[in-house]
Amino acid sequence: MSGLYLHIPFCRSKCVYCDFNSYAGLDALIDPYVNAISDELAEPGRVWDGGDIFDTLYIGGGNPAMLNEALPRILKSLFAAGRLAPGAEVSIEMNPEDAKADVLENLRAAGVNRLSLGWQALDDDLLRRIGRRHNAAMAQEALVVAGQAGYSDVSVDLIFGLPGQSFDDWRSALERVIEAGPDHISAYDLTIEAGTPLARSVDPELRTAMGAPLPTEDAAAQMYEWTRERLVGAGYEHYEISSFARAGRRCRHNLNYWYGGDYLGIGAGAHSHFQGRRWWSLADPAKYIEAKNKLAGSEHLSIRQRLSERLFLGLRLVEGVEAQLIERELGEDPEKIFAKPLAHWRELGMMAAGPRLALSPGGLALANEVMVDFV
Amino acid sequence: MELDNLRNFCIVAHIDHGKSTLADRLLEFTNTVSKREMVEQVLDSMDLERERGITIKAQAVKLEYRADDGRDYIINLIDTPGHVDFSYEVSRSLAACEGALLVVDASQGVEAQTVANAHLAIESGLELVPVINKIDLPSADPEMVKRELEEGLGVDAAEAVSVSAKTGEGTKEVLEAIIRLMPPPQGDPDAPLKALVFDSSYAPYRGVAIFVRIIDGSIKKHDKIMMMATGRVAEVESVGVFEPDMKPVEQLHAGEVGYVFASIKNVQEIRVGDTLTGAKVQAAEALPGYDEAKSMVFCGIFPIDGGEYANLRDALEKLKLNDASLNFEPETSTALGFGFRCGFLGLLHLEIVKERLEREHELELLATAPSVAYRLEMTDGSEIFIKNPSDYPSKGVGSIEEPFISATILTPPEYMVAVMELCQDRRGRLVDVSYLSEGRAQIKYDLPLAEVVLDFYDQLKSKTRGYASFDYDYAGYRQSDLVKLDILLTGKPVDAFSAIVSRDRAYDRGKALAEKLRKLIPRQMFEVAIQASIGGRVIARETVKAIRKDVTAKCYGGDISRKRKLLEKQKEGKKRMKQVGQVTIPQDAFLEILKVEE
Repeated sequence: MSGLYLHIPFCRSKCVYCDFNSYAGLDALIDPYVNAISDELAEPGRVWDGGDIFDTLYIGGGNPAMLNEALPRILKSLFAAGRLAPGAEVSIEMNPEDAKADVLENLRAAGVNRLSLGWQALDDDLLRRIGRRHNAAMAQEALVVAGQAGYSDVSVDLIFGLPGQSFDDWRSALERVIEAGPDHISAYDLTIEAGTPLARSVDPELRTAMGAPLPTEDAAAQMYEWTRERLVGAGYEHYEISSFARAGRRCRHNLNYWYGGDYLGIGAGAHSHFQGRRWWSLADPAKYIEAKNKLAGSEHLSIRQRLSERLFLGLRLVEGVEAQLIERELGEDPEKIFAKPLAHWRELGMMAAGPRLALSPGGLALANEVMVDFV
Repeated sequence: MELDNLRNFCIVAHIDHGKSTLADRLLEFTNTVSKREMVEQVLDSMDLERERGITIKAQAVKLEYRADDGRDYIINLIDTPGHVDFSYEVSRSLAACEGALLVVDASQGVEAQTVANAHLAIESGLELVPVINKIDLPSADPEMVKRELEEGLGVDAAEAVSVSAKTGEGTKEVLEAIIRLMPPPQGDPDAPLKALVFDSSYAPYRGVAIFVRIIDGSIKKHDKIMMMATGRVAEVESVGVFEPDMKPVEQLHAGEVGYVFASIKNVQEIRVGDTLTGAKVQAAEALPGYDEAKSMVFCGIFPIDGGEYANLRDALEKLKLNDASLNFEPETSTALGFGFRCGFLGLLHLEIVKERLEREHELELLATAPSVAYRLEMTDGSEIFIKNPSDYPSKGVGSIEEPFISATILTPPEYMVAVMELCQDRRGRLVDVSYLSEGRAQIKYDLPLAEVVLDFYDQLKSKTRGYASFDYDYAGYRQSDLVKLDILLTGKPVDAFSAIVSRDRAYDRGKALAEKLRKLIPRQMFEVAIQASIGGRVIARETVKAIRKDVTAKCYGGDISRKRKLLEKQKEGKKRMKQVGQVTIPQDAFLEILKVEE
């Protein structure tokens, strides 16, 4: 199993919370960028030794829709070259304002079979506050259009804990999400990343951001707990800290990350991993386009590092990870190496019962506290 | 060299008035240090001294100067620390001199340490030559400074020299004034050796250099000498002068300043203030000497990594080689593990030692709240001293005394009320108010030292926008109504947080401490109860609720290195926390709680 990730670093505007490698106002670079990623796809070079055929493709950004016609073209050439395995999961991220019927149909025809819609919220004031370009009606409309275009695997991204968002706001939004009935839901709690406009707007005295009160830790925890309870009740499987899916609709591309699998990242700032080696491209799109050697950095993980990554990635999954599997792969038994912290967290009830290494529901909300002990 | 052609002087000043810069100019002007070798603050040999712009150790240097009268002079400059913590070093240096330059900033005017140092110099019988520095500043007002010197200090400012140590203007005039106004040393070159030990310094491989001012007689290699206070006898290995590096000479004569090596391996064997004399032909009586520097402020210093204990001990021993005023003894804290209770001259001394330990010895350290030594009279009639609040006995205490200081604060009159409020608030007793000039009031207060060691100086500066200056003398022990305040976390007392406080304020302070700790202690896996208690009675309680959520969003685009780095950073943060029983406390908490406003 190996995954292919394609990064599109262009945006129409930056959202206040976003610290991803994406830029507004670089439209002039789109054409040369398409050429650059096509070249890199043809010749990934480096240490990628995972074969030419990928089981999943994920096109993320930024905003992939800004590539317009180039996008189906790239997809078609990938399929034509036999780079995607039969039955491959092909996902693309899409903002509601770009989810037009013809766009979605073209992509579907080019092989996209999974759509990830960036809803983020269902409240117009909130959406405006965080710098989104769509409103709630457009978000809901996008899901309908996707269904009409023939997509049977649509995910929506949501953020909770936004400034000005109360528990009741979140509850009513989530009820409407359930009513709309996407196949997959990613519900992230807001992380205030340093250097973003959101972070700069924080007033620690007043506990506000973007001029609106930030939910307290307790409120955010309550939102998370309720989300899990409600979505599971509505027939979604909670399979990863922030991910919920109807049966058979887990995101295979992301699962591969959490399983510690191999993946090739193409595009500015994209990360790749192959059997304990990791490397990443130049993040600046202009430099990425120009450079012959697009490699920005690499690392060779020690067994100990791989062990720790397998654990903290595996623990993101609700089913956790099997200690014996890790031992078979890496020759070290995490139960032995981490005996002390594991005993500590088991005693505190943060680990789920059973033979697998997995977090309990309480442990999922405090995942970082636990994971810290494994790095 | 005739005694007439010799001068020994020191420079005294308030901090930042330009003492070290003036010394630089004098060295430069007399070609003692060539322009090429010139670094700023030549006499401040430690990086820390240069960075902070302060002098910590006394230094001596020999200047050669051909004066306007055509004669060649040797002028010994003994540089002194400018900070109140090190005033004992000032008094040592003064005893080795006949004159002192009193440097005053032309725009700042007379400050608290100007007053203190001027009085010290006058009491030591030195000829005082005022130097008004920084006359290049647009805000310079030399006439105002002269008035303050004359009216406020009673110093004759007629012969004051105006200089700019920055540009070098007036340097020559200073040298001329030293020769014209300061008397040459008196001394009998043929009498038995009598020399004042004014400092000492440890040099690797060579042992201890004894800094001396020869009063009578002379000293040379192979002489047998005796330290009069300790009776210790030693043979001289070499003698020399400071240029400013050590340079051996044949002999040191009466009136001169220099160093002596005499196979002494440890500064502890030298008592600064002692008198050196000949082992066979002895001086009739010793010089008056001076009081030993006493530790006034104490705190526990603990390695963050318990495994560093032995390294901390070695580092403290190394520092002590050159700093006889640093004291330490092992201490065990249930909260912080193994460390040392250290004694310092004052807060700056504490800070400097801690910084040197961290910087020069690469140790990560945690220091507890500075405290003073209390004298307890027990009901059974015995007397004990307590340097650590957690040693306070649970019963049998009759009465308790604490050290007081006599503080002198100089401030523009508009801040007088603020200063007095601060002093009242710190249990001060007003002694006197007077005016040095229209623009400068002098306020004298008696204050408990314990109230000063926390953040008094910072508070004073902030309440007077930096205009007030402060100096103090120790004023002995006085009885106070004090109690021990304990802080308990999840029901267990944390010794490092214990404090001895005035009974009147114990309740408010306990409440404020508990509240502050609630803000400082991060949420943990379980609820943490914080209690303040006096004599077993809980007077305040706060709760840190259990943590409920700590999870980050997805690893974007497979960027797992970033996720790992974030976790590693979080782990580093945890490492910098101290585990006290079940509770994790940030190291800052041990310092931050000192800044509690009641």
